[in-house]
Amino acid sequence: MIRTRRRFLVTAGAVVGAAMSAAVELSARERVSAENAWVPWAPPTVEVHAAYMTIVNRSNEDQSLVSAESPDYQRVELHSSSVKNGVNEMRGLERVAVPANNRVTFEPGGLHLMLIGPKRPRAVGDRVRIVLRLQNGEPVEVSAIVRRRNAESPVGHDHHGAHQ
Amino acid sequence: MIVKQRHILAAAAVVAAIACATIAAARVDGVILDRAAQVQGFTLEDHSGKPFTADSLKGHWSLILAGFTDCPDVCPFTLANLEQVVAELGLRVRPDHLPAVIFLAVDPDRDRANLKDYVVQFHPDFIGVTGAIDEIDRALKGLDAVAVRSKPDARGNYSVSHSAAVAVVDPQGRLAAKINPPFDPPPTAEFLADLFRRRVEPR
Repeated sequence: MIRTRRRFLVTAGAVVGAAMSAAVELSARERVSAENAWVPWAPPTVEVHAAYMTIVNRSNEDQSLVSAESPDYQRVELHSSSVKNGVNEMRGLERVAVPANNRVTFEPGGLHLMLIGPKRPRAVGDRVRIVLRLQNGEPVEVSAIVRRRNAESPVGHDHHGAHQ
Repeated sequence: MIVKQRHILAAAAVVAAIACATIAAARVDGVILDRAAQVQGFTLEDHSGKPFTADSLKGHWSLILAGFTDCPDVCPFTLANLEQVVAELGLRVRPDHLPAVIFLAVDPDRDRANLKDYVVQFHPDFIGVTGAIDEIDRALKGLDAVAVRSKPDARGNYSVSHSAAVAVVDPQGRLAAKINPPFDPPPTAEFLADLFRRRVEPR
């Protein structure tokens, strides 16, 4: 009952919003979203964590992620790991393009969010809130679950499905 | 709880091993040295503060990777892979042939305090090793590896780059092979099992 009413209110709000803006098609949340977000559990003494997820852009416009923040960390950066001449390198990125009707995967050994300075220890099963920022300033809300790396192989690539 | 999880992992490993059997050769980038090279002397400490020298590598196989504890992505990714590689090796080789996994921490000022916690999160038997910079560099040289520490910026931030390969050291303390990423567990375990068998039963 309550649920229905809330939905109605949200819908009504959306209609009003749409009427107010000529260009509105989908809300920011519907156009760009983060799926399967997770943070590998790390011991309390470790000061730098990673977050992985898939960014999905369902709109017909190219988008870019330009920054990220989290109330649970002092700082969040967009990073990319790569191997150059046999050496692992990690570099900060100014932006990560997410083309129209496409997806970009942040996964171990490649793109990742670097979470710096945890404000409190995290237990397996906790949620980490992260807000990604698009180039037009719109936020993308992320709720990442903390889990152990080994619990489900993040490394499995094409035999991923076997680990459940 | 832990026991149960391990059981599931083992089952998954078998499934994965079967699934990957036909493409195993394509999924590991390992190089066996024509002539194993003795790792030169170095003096470091393990994560419990005990001395760790080139002699500590003798009497068992070792898998050694360079890294640092503020490394959030590649180092944990590799260590998690190696945990699975060793689990899979357990299905293929005798327990006394299982390799030690050694994390050579190349950023000692930051690494010392949390080295143990960082390493044992992947497996209680994994060993973290660090020490003076010049001794670290000597150990790296013997493993045909490098670490590059950038100059600190105005805020004191600096980055560390390091070799991506895992060094395989034989029970005589010689660099026998190198494995480059990715370290997909089933083919990596197969590569190592084959290497170990060659050494046990010379052809």
